Amino acid sequence: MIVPRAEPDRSPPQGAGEAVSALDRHRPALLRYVRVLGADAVTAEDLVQEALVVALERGGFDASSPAGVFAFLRAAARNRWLHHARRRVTRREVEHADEVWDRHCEDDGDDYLLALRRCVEALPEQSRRLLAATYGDGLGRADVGRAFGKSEHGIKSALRRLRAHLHDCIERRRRSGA
Amino acid sequence: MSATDERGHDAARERLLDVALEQVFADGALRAAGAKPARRGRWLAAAVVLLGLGVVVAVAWQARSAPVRAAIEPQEPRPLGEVVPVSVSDLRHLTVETSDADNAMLYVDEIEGLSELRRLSKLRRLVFVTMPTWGNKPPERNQDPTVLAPLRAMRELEELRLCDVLGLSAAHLEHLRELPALRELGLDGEMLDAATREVLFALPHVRSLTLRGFAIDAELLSGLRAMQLTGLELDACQGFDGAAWRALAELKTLRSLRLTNQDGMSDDRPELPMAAFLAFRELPVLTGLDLDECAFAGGLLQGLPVGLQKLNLGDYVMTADTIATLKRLASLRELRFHHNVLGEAAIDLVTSLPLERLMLRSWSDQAVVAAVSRHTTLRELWLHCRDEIDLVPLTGAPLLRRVHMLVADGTLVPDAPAMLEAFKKRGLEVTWSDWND
Repeated sequence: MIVPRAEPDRSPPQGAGEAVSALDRHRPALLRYVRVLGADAVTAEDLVQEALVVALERGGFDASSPAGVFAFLRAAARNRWLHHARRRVTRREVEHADEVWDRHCEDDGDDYLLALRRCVEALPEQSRRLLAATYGDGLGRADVGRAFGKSEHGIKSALRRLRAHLHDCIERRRRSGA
Repeated sequence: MSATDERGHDAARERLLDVALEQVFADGALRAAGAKPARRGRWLAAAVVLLGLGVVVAVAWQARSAPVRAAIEPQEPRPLGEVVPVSVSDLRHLTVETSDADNAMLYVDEIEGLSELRRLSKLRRLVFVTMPTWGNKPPERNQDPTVLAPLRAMRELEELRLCDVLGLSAAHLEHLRELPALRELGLDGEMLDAATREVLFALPHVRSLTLRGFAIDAELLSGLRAMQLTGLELDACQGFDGAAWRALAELKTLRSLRLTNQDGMSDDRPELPMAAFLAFRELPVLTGLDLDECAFAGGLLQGLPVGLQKLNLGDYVMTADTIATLKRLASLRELRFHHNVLGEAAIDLVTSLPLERLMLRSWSDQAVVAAVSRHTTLRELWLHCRDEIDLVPLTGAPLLRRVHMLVADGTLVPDAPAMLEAFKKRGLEVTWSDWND
């Protein structure tokens, strides 16, 4: 297993509570990152937890550099994912995911998330409900189809169109800074 | 970038959207904005209250304006009123005096309240739909046919759509025999047993039938001959085999056939084979064909009946070769197809046919708008719009009367005021809706 090498801690002792707090603020972004790598929701939680523990054990972070902290966490999570999924995921696939992350989530993905939220808010009610049922309630296409009185394939098509629109909308909003 | 790299990037990008959507919809603010119920039970209660209010307002409006409408409406065929949405559990709150709606969408959130259907005896159109449950338990599938007995009193009912949760048996359908005006019937379900089929085949006035989600077979399709159907929709049905296609070919009275969601994604719903297209050709008066969400070999389009006047190919991805085969359909007046990747071939097709109604299924560019604006027979156009496109040239199409725009993001294109002014001057009716609806 390859993990960032732990350097001896030469910094002044930091309170454990402060360290956990400083690391934990990166948890949502780190979860996003690991999911982009390809981990499912449960595995992602595990990987993030492991990465946070590694970072906590290492200690000595410069709290004034969140980007540096996140870079460390990201490397730790990536290495754990490569180890976890070594039989089915190639390094090239991980590189693709990293490239997508770097392109769309240079600020840990907060900007992307904000753009998506605005795009979703601008959607008509019916479309928001469809997304909420799928991504919020976690209903499958068949269940969503029954709830909306549409066929499973109709839901599939609607989601495909919605997702294409959201990709487009996010890009436009981020380009325009709106 | 290689194709492998591109696929890898696309997959990662889709995963990013997945997880971001999950995070957005786990967010309290969006729940409060109505994107997701804060609590399912509470949302459901609010929805029912809103539906109730909608009914009260809509029904009251209809009751108040009924004399005026009676005075100004043409007598035949009478246009339907606005759809009144109502949940079954709210039916008991309607007073007899206010329940003169003629067009209702009924959300089946419970079975017991169906006895109150008698309050809607003036309906001409009734559509039952399954209530969105958001994870709450839907009603049990109804086994009691007497719940549909109030339908017998709907002497003016012309169109009825029954959903699966109501239960479909011979005894249920028996109630429809006595509806003298019933011309259109839609059924959602999985199986029709022999007894139910017999009742269905004997419904005396139904001429348009929709079956959604059913397992079908040659025997069922052969039985439909007795109904002398002019319209048939088979959506997401399974079980088509050679005998079924041959049986379909015997429905000689069909003018309109909608055969949708045969997308080849599963063994149950394989791609349309050549036998399907041979069957279409055997239907002598068929003028409308809808193949939305169907997959088939492109070459089979050569087998489309030349007498078609309406054709919907949905999002079927065409090639220049397959699109060229459509040019021989010289009777086409209405066409809906996905034109985006076709460029010149699409423009050539659109301009070569005497179309009156054209529905373009992907983003239109300026070249398409220019081609349409030179069209001499087009009366109605549906197109997907984005902000880069200038639609004012459409005012040059001599017969164009109506433009319906499907717009993204719930917003109109930025130059909307100028465009609308130009359309108004030209007397063009312009409507728009969000393309996700």
